Amino acid sequence: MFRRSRRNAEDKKEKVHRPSRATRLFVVLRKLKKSEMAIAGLGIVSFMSMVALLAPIIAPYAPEWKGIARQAPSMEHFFGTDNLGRDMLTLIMHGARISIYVGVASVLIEVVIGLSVGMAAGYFGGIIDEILMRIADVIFTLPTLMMLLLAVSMFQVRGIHIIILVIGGLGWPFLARVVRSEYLSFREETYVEAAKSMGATSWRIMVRHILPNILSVVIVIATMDIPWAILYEATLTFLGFGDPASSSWGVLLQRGEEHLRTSWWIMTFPGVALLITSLGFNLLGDGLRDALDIKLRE
Amino acid sequence: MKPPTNGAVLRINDLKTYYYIAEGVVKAIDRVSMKINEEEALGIVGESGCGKSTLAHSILRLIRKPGKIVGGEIWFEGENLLRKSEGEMRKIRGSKIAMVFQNPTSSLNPVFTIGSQIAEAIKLHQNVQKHEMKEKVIDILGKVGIASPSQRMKDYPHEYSGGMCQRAMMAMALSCNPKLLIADEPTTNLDVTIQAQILDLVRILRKEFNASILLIGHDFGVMSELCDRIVVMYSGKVVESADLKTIFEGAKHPYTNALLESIPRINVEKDRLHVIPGDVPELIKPPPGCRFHPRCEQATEACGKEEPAIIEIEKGHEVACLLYN
Repeated sequence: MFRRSRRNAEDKKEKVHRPSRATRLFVVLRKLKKSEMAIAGLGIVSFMSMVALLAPIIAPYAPEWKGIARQAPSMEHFFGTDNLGRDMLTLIMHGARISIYVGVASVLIEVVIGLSVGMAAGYFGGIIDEILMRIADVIFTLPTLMMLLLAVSMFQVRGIHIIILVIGGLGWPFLARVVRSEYLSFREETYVEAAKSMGATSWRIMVRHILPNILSVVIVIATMDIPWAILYEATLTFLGFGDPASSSWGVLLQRGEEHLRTSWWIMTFPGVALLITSLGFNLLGDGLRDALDIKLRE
Repeated sequence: MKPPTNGAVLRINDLKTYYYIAEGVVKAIDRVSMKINEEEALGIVGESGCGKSTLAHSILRLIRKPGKIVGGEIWFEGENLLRKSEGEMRKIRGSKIAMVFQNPTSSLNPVFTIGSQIAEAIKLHQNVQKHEMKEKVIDILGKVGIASPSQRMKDYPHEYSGGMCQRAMMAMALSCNPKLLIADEPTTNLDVTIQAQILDLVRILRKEFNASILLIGHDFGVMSELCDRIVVMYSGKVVESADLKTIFEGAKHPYTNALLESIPRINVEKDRLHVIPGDVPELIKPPPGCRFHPRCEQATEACGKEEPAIIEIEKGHEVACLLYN
């Protein structure tokens, strides 16, 4: 019918100009750099993480070192001493370890649950979706703090890990919903159908083919949830439901409360540390959202 | 029960695939029978919505809810695919029956390199060592005509043109040496020149891999380039099937003739192109009798009452029309 030219026009483009392929992380960092706020967030988060990691080395005193109680901030004690004479700066540095650990660990639990639930609900749909999402709805509608208090008080031992488990175990519904909606749309993609036509299993499609596409969404939500987890731990501890043996910022806050009138520094500095860290994670999350080009919340 | 294979790779008997939607039952495939012979290229032609793609998906059992295969048999290598478990089906998909889709650019996952996606396809059905894998991928990319494959395998799909994406898809589909390649409108979204290249490629690969081909499309031009035999479908039914030459020179069904008349021809002078009046019928409530009769110029009163059976009017030429009953 039609005579066609057999020249392979496209194959002539053999020598394409190829910029050196920057790794994806590098691209994201470059985009992050455009926003000052994001850089500030990244700076704060890195700084706080360094402090937490290196606390035993860089802290000016040992955490159990005791001097004169309730000294005001001075050159020897930048943030003063507490009611037992311990150096506040040292305590805050060591507190950072626990608070950030709580934040990261509970978010990890949240991601594991939220991702699995959202994946299964979105990909399989039907009755599985219905059941999982109704469970998520129930957790979602109840006030989080109430639920946390209730859950924590169910345990007799109030270890830090129980708190992590509870915060992570109740924090997943939002992530699950977002992941579900992503899977709902991605399972309609032609390449998912193509993968099926090649004989890939559902599991393989969910994990190998779709998950990498939505990883950026998960990273952003996780980053923004870390300060929430830190704050919830502090809140629980402040209300007396925490692990009194730990020395998280929440514990410091709680202890400082009774001395607020006489020694303002005992409560103020852990509070400021908490504020700055939360701010840092939030700014970083916001920046990542823009850098990874995701539309979430408003 | 053993089927009569006699040279057929795939034999479809009385296949019915329905979609159960709120408005009713859409009979997308209604008692369709056909066969694909060994090393044959069979073309399925029809308007949009006549059930071509549903047929392709039915063969691989990739029909999704609310669709369902409600009846019939699909015989492949002596076994009825409709009786296989999902796990057994998965082993057939990709390794023995492979499929190429109509949107090459969206058939590839944007977050992986072309090479890793082809490797993934190979991994699903073959045990290949890691160091051999790279060579295998390069080899197959070269076969489908990607220039400098060892570099191009590191590219992401967005760095490929549409034609190259379709080549990559072809590489994936052929990576496991399938017996049957289903190509669902593989050239629809490509430029005419690229279309020609892809068709050339299919022709070359067909020889190299000895695969049968099921080509789905609405373009008689594309079909004529590649196919040995043509099946014409209309609203979920086969209306005519014959070898390529017979279809072009001695088509019997009024629908086939109407389709052929709608093609612009270079050697015939015409002011206006023929248009088939009316629309494709809604498959929820198809017209009684012959489904084509409301649009048929040769329809008689009987056409609205009696459904024509498909009969062989000469060897290898089947027609479903009351004119020939």
